[in-house]
Amino acid sequence: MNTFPGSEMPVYPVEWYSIDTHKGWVIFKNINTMKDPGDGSVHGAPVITVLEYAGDDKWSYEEDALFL
Amino acid sequence: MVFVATAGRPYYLAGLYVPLAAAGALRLQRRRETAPSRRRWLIWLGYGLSVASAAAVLILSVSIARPDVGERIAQRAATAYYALPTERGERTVVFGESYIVTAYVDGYSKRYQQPEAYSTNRSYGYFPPPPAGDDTVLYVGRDPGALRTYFADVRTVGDVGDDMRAYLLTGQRQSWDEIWPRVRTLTREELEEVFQKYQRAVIEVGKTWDWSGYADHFTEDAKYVEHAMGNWKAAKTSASGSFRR
Repeated sequence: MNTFPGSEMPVYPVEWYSIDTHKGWVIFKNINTMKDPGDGSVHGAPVITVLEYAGDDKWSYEEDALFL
Repeated sequence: MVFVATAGRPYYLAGLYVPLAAAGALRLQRRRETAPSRRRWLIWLGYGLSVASAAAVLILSVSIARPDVGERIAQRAATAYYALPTERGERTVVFGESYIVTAYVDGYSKRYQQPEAYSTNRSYGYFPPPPAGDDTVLYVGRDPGALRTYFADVRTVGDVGDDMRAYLLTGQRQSWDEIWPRVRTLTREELEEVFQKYQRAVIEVGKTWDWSGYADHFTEDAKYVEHAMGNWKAAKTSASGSFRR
């Protein structure tokens, strides 16, 4: 999706995720992929995110740890 | 395959032992018919051993099983409940730590004249929360855990057996409608589903670069912590639908 030159679709591929049903947490690693600069190259920064579920399809907490 | 796909439990497959044993017996029977073995005594030994071990398991399981454990838990929970002053008791909900304990209390609720029990464990969490006026909890389990946060005072009021106690939780800090979704032990399916929805929304943001709807996936008082920019927290504002510092 990102290799096509001029692509306007940045994506957030989830590399792995883990679900803690007892705590209601979803922890995942994804690559915050940047928009294609035009030459087909892919640039991104890995992030580990913790989401805490509050019920009713909503999260009450997000924590991001970026590797920059 | 069905149980793997539906995240079932391994013992759901126990029923398949019957066709397996039947197939084995059939095969053995056919072999005996076609070629009578000289080692017939070995087969008889096998028969004897299987019958003996089956009988042993049966005897052992009867002696190990404790069918009275559920009733004892329900009875002790009822004792703790009736030890409360009447005025307090009327505002008290019996709350089981696990669905098993809750089911024991529920099952014997008529015999011990006890109100029906509540629990946030597994499917019990999908029943409605206790009535708004009931602000005291008689907790039956090992530890009130997450529920502690929502009550000012927690004290032990009885021993239920099997490493469990009866706790009295008083001084409710938030309404049941607020507490319930937070302490409910969720099923993996529910979290999978909501996470898939969230991911689809994020991909949509990636396409449109329109972040305004992102905060709709969060509660009004949601917190956001971002390490790369230093630890900071943000609260969602209902007016803009976005996060602010």
